[in-house]
Amino acid sequence: MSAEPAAVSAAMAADTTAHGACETGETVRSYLRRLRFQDPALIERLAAECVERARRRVSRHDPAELSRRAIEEAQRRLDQALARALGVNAGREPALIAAARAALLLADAGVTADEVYLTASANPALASRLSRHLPQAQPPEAPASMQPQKLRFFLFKSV
Amino acid sequence: MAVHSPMPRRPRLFRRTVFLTLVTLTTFAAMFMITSAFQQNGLTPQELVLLLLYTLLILWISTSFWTATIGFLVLLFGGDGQSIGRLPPTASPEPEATPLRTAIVMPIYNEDPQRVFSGLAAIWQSLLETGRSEGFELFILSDTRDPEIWIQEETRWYRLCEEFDGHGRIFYRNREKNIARKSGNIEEFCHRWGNRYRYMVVLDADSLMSGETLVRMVDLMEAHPNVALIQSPPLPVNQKSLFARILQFASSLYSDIFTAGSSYWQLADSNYWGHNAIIRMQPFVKHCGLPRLPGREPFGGEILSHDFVEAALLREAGWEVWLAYELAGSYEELPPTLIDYAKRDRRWCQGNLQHVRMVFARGLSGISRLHLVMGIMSYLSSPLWLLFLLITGFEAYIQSQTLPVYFFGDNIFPVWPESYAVEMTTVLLVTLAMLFLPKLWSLVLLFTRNRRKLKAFGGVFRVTLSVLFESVFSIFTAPVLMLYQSKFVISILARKSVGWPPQQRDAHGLSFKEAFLAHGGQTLVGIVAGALSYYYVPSFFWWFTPVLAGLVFAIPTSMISSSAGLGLLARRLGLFLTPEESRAPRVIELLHRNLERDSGVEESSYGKIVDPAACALHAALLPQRLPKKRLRHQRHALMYQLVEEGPETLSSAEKRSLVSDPDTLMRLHTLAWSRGESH
Repeated sequence: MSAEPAAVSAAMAADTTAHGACETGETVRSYLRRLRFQDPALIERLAAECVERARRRVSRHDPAELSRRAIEEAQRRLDQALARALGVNAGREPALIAAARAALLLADAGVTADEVYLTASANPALASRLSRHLPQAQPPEAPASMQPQKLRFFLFKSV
Repeated sequence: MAVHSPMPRRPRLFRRTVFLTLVTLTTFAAMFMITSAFQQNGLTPQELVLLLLYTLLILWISTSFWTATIGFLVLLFGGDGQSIGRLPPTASPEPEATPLRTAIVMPIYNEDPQRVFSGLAAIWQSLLETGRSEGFELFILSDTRDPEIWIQEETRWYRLCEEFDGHGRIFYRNREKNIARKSGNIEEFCHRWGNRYRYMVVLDADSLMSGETLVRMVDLMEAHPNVALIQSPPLPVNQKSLFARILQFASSLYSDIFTAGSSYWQLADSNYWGHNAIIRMQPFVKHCGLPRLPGREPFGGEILSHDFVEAALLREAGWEVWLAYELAGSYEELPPTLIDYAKRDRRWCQGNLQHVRMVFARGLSGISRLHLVMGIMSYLSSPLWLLFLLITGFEAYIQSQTLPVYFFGDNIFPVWPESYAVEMTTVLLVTLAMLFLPKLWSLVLLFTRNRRKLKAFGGVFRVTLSVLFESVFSIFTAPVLMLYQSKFVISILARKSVGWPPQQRDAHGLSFKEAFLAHGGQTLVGIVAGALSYYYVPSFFWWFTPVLAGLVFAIPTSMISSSAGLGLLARRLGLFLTPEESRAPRVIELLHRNLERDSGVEESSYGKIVDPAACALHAALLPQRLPKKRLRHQRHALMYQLVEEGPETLSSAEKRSLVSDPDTLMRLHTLAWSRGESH
């Protein structure tokens, strides 16, 4: 048996993988733009890094899995950048990081993902701009006891 | 602490005595007339039943009639000096423990988020324009189960906060379990934040209130520390379909005299209608925790129409409950079609019939029981009318089959049968007069007291024509609603529960199929009843035609009246015009502007977890706790099902479970992007 078919199939697989990586790269770039990254060069670099890191984790050829891992990597990088800027631990404060991400993506806070990502350490000015827009869904609780009233009835069973 | 109402006893006693005397005398007079017609040869069993039914019905009609008539007189002579708006402030017995902060709460359940948040934005902006918004906070109390609407609500809530710089003043909460429906929703709010607020203004999903009205209500509460609740009379607005515009017109024109009349005789013992009312938190929290009634639905279980019961509990604790009839700037919306109206009636009917048990609650005052009975009668009157018509038809048939006997025994002179047509016609005319005179009172009031308002209703000719058309329309729809409500009462008595379906609030024309399915049975009843009466009792048939016409033409009436095109055409012609349509108040103007602005917004990513922004916000608002292992496995299984078999194979509850966990949510979000579903 010649080794030729194996070589052909390996070449085809490499080609398909390259095509898959290309598609994944486009998906990740698109995703990064939705995460409010603006600088094309930064988007390009980040997308390449995310795809590369994902490729190392995906054992066999699976474009969907590759995309999933790459997108997860993009999320992780933004979350870490947010945690860095806010001076918190991303793993311990998932709700705060999600809130900061929401503020970054939804609010008109004058903060871009580029700025957050390029922040090397805790940035009080940026944190303050973001925290003004953090979602605050509920105020502190001030509980009151509201007990069910006892009702007694003529002709009917009472409660 | 039970407080004692400072409302003097004498005016209360006098007013109620006058009112009840008028109602009782009218009822006795009507009974006398009908009894004199019946007592030709003594009362037959069916005549006795007819008399009993008529007494109940005329009692109900005369209550409504005298309320309207008193209201007409009150307004004709410049208003009521004893109303809550005109009473002098009373000193507070002790300082309030809670800060002067008012929560405007809106419980919602699977409503259209665009309408809800456009309305809330209008209310908030109107409040900001008063310059007195600092004492208010807005709370959206969501019981929404639909995951897509849930995420949309959150995104819109956040945008509302951003628009008005309302972070920390505009809040949103979605309940994990919607126990006890709307009352449970409010109760949970009271449990968690009851001591944060001195007052809460309860709104419905379609409520609108102007900032000035909200501020005025707080001022009234501050001025009267014995008042626990002030109900504002909401006027229907924003209607497009012909059906809803006719109802809106009727409510706008006629409701003033009814609310003024109710306020006159109820004074500090008024009722709560569930929304557009301000409530003092402390007494509400202390006295209005609702128990679950023993037994199963429809009579047991959660108290559905909680508002009447809460008002009764507040009154029994010595607090005052007022209807501020003179408060303007309070609005609501109506169901757009006859079918939607009937569906809403179905829910309200069950809630009101459940009050049968509450009427027998120990310790309630007479007026509390009266409020409950009035609620019950608004639905029970329909089967009573139906029964009355059936027995009248049967009686007419018996009479037609009876041969008159002119000669008794040895008497050579004939005894002519007496005619009681005059008495019966008088009974009918009196009943009709009591039903239609309130419309005339409203017109008279409009013509004599308020020229500016008359112009806003379209002028003398158009408003008169509108009243005539509205009367004809109500004659056509009354038999249909009578059959609907009778069916509802019977099915509820047969222990068929109604559930909690969300309301259809948008205008939508009915197709023939929809109308046929909803009214086919009624049309058939009309045709059969018409044929039977025409064949067996022709004289009765002609009296019966207004009822028959309503039933026979139920399908076209329902279809035609559902048309938004006709509704708007009528508006262009100046028919069924209301002052709010002629010149929209600021808060309504703001609502329209918000709706218009929102309709241009790209909706594609709203409420979709594929949107990173919506997804991040949703994750941020979810409670951060580790789910139980079993639940985690269940969610995994659901996720695989979603991926392999498609989202349509999951129920709404299953989808909700998936998006209720931050980790699963992010996995779904990532999966959607990796599978190219981002666009």
